[in-house]
Amino acid sequence: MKLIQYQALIASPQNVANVRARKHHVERVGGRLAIAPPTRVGMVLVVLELPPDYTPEQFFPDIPFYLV
Amino acid sequence: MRWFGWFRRGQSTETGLIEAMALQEGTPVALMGGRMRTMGLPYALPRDMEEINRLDFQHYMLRYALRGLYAAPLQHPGGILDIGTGTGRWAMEMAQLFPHANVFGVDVNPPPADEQAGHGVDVRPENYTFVPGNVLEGLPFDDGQFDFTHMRLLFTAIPGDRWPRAVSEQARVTRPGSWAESVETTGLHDGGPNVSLMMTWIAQMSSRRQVDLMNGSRVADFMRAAGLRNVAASVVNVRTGAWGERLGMMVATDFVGVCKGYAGLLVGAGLTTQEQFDRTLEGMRREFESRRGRCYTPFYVVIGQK
Repeated sequence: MKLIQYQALIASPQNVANVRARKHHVERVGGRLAIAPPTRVGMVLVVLELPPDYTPEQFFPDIPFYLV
Repeated sequence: MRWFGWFRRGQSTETGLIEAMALQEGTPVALMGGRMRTMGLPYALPRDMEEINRLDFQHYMLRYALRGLYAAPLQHPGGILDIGTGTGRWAMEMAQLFPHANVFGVDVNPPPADEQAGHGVDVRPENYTFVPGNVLEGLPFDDGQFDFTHMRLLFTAIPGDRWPRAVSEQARVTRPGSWAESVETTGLHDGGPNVSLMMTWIAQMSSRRQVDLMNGSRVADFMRAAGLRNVAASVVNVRTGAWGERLGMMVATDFVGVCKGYAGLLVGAGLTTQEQFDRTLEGMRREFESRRGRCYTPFYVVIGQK
């Protein structure tokens, strides 16, 4: 199944923790989630891949994912 | 670095846009459309020395066009925030202009001056501080922390549905009674056929990133919706090209730099070919040099009080 890729660059530790905590929800629907190591100044790149039937807002309403 | 495994493969096979990628000195950048660009953002312009020079040039052009650094009726601000500070020029000049203020610049990447400071060359004013953050996810500051908040030319960076939240965040961190300010544009208007074609491509590519360039003209509405009062908006229409004399050619030069920054992405997205892009860029230069041109660039200057 072709997955749709989204990315977000976030700084808030709370948001990073929230993303990490919901990873299994993404995987349950066949999606993938990768969290890069923090940059030198602490920004964290999050790469999300979802099946076409799903949107990032369904899993992470507060995270500014955009369609790559 | 396991993280790169599936990501790199996925990019190269599915979009063809990312040709290589690296965590360059701790920055999430990738080579996209022939230039290094920050990942994870709808903002598509490059992050390299050529773009830093263009942004600095744009700062001086705007300071000249708008006759100063700000429009709000400032007295003695104690705290100033620049949202999406970019190269940090505006923030550092404000720090020099208001030496008793604490000036903060927030962005996802540090400005060049902050990066150089780590290598022993520190040209930053003592009352200036860079703070990492992404306005799209909220600002890392307390409510009412600043006497003046400023956003400028984020119209290619903020997706349509995120504008209300971004301006609400700006309003949130502004101290009651103090001012928030925005300077935006919607790009070039009434240009010749080549300028118009280039603007169409940029608008189409932005649209694919959920960015509506026309939101640059709607900030006054966003400020009112965010609860700011005494919202005042003005439009400075800058003649663009030779008919605008020195300033007009500065704006035209800046726009040529913007187009070069987008070139590889426009071609990669299939909106044009490299040959057509090059022809259009040359045609655009001719249109700018013609004194018969009537192209203009509107800058929307909006202030609102908390």
